[in-house]
Amino acid sequence: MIPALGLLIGIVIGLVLQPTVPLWLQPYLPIAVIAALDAVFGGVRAVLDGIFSDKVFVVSFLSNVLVAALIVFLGDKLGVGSQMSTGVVVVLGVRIFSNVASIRRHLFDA
Amino acid sequence: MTLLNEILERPLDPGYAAAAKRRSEAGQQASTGERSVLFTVSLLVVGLLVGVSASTLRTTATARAEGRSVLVSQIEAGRDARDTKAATITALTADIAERDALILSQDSAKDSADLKLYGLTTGATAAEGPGFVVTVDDASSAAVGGTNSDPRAGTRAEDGIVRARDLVIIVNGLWAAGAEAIMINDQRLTATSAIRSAGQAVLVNYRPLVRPYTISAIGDPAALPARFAEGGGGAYAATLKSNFGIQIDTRVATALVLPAAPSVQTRLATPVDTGPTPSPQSSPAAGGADE
Repeated sequence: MIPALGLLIGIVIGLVLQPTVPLWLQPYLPIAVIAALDAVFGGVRAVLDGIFSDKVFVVSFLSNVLVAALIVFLGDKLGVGSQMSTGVVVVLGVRIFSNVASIRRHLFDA
Repeated sequence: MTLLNEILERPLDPGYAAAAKRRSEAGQQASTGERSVLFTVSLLVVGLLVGVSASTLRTTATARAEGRSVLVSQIEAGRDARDTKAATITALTADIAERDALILSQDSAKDSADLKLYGLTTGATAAEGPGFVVTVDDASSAAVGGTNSDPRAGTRAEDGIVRARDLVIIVNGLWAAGAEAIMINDQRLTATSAIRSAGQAVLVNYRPLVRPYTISAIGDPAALPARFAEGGGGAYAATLKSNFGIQIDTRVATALVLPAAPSVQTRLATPVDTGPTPSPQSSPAAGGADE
């Protein structure tokens, strides 16, 4: 419950403060959000599976965001930035969906 | 396919299982529990990321709108500056013409009279006199998508829109009927004026016109309307009115004031020296006669 509160507080802080993100960082924001969501849903599933580990969660979250940003950065340099973004979104999206499906099975037995 | 199978069948990070195995081998609980400070802090970071992204990407859209409004205001400022300068040019041209007339009147009365006549016929000076006004506007159905157009007759909504071609034919009809000076809205027609269309807009003297188009012609108010109605221009106007519903109103005016054209200039053409000046009594230059 407390970690969920942390998530909510973070969202509220971000919306209220509205910090200015430098322009060169803005293309990576959507990808970073997708990567973070993937880590969060993976974490929730691990909690329900009873094998959660906070260290693994932090490492997977950071590496997800960094690798996704790196792929998009490289794609931008090579001129295939939008295709790379699509690839990252597809892979992470599939993972999010199957993790959510597993969470659903845990919660509703369906 | 291996990659897709990997994604679909093992969506959970294998690190979780490995860590759990290590902990249970060490005699600890498989799960560290979700009530750890590290987890809470990292979820705070995730939330911050989501919030910042939401606010940043939303302000990008408003920033785009701001940029657009800046551009619009720049265009409007440029248009205002252009209009001011055009007004200055007109005033200065009138001033020059006045001074020219003054100098010439000191030299010879005939030259002064000639200058006035040339100025009138070329549109370089403002003109006033009785005349005839034709107001042309789009059909009332054109704006709302042709409510009274019969789909079987094949008429479309665009048929009710006034084209540059229509104005050219009406203006030519007025010249032919004996008009001596013509302006459309506020644009005086000169020997070099073109009436043309650019997309949906009608341009005269390179200025876009706003409908309704008011064509003011100085001429004999007794003869001009009748001769216009009998001629090709009047017949064409009647056709526009009856077939396409274009609104055409005509009226006789007792006093019309036509401003001078913004600039009457030739860059390359120079007069041919043929001895005595021919009489300037010929009909005025046919502006926009490029039909």
